[in-house]
Amino acid sequence: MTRDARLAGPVGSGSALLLFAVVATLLANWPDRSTDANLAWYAVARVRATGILLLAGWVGASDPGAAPRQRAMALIEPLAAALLSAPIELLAYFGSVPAASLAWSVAAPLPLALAAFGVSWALAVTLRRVRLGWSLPLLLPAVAVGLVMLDVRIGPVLWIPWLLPFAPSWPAAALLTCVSGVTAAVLARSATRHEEAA
Amino acid sequence: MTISARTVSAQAVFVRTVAACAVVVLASGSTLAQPARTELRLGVAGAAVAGAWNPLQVVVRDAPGATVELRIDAGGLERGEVPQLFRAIVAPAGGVQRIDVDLPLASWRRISWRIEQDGRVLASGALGARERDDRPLDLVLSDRPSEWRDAFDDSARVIAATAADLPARAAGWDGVRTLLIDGTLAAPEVAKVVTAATAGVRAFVPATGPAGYAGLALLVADGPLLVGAGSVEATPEGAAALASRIAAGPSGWTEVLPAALDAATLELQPPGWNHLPVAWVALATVGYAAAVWLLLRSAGAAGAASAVLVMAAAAIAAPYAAPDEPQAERRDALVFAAGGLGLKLSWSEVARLPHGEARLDGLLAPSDAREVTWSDGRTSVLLEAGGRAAFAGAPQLLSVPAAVHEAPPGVAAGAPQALLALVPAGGSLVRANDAWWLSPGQVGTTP
Repeated sequence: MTRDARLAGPVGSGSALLLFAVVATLLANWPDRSTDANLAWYAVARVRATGILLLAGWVGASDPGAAPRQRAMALIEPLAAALLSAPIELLAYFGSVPAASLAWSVAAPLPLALAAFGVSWALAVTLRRVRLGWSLPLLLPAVAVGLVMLDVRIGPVLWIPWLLPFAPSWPAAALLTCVSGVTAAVLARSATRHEEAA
Repeated sequence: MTISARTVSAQAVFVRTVAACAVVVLASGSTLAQPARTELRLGVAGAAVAGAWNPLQVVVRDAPGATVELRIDAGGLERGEVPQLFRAIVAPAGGVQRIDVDLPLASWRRISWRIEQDGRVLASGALGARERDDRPLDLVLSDRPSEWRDAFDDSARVIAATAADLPARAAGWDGVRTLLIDGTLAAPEVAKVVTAATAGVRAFVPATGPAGYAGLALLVADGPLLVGAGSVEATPEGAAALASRIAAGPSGWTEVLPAALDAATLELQPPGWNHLPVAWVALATVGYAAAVWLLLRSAGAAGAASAVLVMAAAAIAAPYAAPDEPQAERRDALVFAAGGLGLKLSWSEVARLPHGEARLDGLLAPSDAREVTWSDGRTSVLLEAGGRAAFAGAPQLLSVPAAVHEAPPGVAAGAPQALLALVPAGGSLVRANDAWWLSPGQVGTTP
């Protein structure tokens, strides 16, 4: 694979779909009359965070047997989608002037993507090892729903993607940083081991 | 309604107890031993009117920096509690200090107040839903007020008052319908009677009377006087004659005031923001998405670098999508002018993009039952993101400016359609000093 192909390859249809969804949400919610309040950001932030999480989860769960380097390259897609969609969220934010943290709403989806990638990857690998890989399409949504219900029970928003942009908190930041850090460390370690073995 | 707490002799307490208002004094019995004296009075002659502006007077002696809090629960069975809070701080000086404002009282479930200094309650009290009354007041200034009772219908809220009870500002007269003066008590100030009439009250003053009434008699020397939104007429002889005069209907604008205000309010353009046109947003976002996508997919490393630059440029340009002001306001006013004076009824609407507190100058009455705080001469309301709230300002007395005096009969261009029907034959509707002036014809000179 050439360097150019490596750069273009990961930025695939998932990123395009997310960009399309975010732009469509922005335009559908942008007011066309001056007397209407601009509440576009609230919809855009939800769609962007949820889209990034879904994309990261899908990328993480697909092809659990891939080589570590390929897996790391696959991670670029949700991260690139998060970065590429950030200016559109910025536009929505400044147009809506919400009483919310800009830094949090723009940056939080990045560790969320990494964490979602790590969790779905771990689940896929575990199921593959116990020869239950066929159940992944069922178990992954079930785990996602369970995590959402757990977050609702806990109280403060920790990972629910459609609420996370509006609820900045230290516990959420710490948790997402930890999980995404572990994911990054495991990815890096497995890549190093793979190279050494090769 | 009056509440007092003062250091007085046992005899004085006894006399006060035997007198009419002892129950209210005892409501703050725990404060009788306090060295400070406080008095809170709400409404004209102690009668508060729900759904109207009411005068609020607080007198505090030797309690510098005391805080006055009056809490209105404007809620209901469906809405639950809707707290509206008035807060004021007494001047940090000894002696007698006064707070004198006009407050809009919603149809309350409960009104409670508390005067505190350094955490010590100087006075407190409450009014329940049973004491709520939205009937306008008919004030009688007479040493024999019962003789005039038959002049008013059975459902009227006739209150005996003295000259000292009369409010000085137009807003204080909002809950009053009639002012009857028969000349048997000390004469009130002419200015207060004129203010009452300007505020839409039908005032009756003696055409002849004892010393002190000369000024009032002069008002009706040439017959009934239309002034502002109300009128001043000569007090008829006896209750029966007054009853027939009242039955003949009000003069001035009194009858059309609420309808006119509703109509004018509907004409107010709601406040808005200068959003970026949606076509520009579409062009910018679709162009951006297409550009970064194509650069990443087709141009390799150089394309990726270019996409990063495009992304950075888009991020830098994003703040230009912000509207000029996150909080938009619009105000307008309608003035009922006659006799050289006008009653100004103003209303305003505020709309706010971010969730948070909107602060507006002046004490304003919310158009619906909502939580507000009145403090430091300002009205604060908590709005959700994109929320809006409408308010009415306190009625104000104004002199008619030259532009209105000199305006020819008729309707000015651009006048609200809803007000056109209210312009009487020979009357005028003109725009001056950021308000619509509605006058019955010759606006006359100030009495």
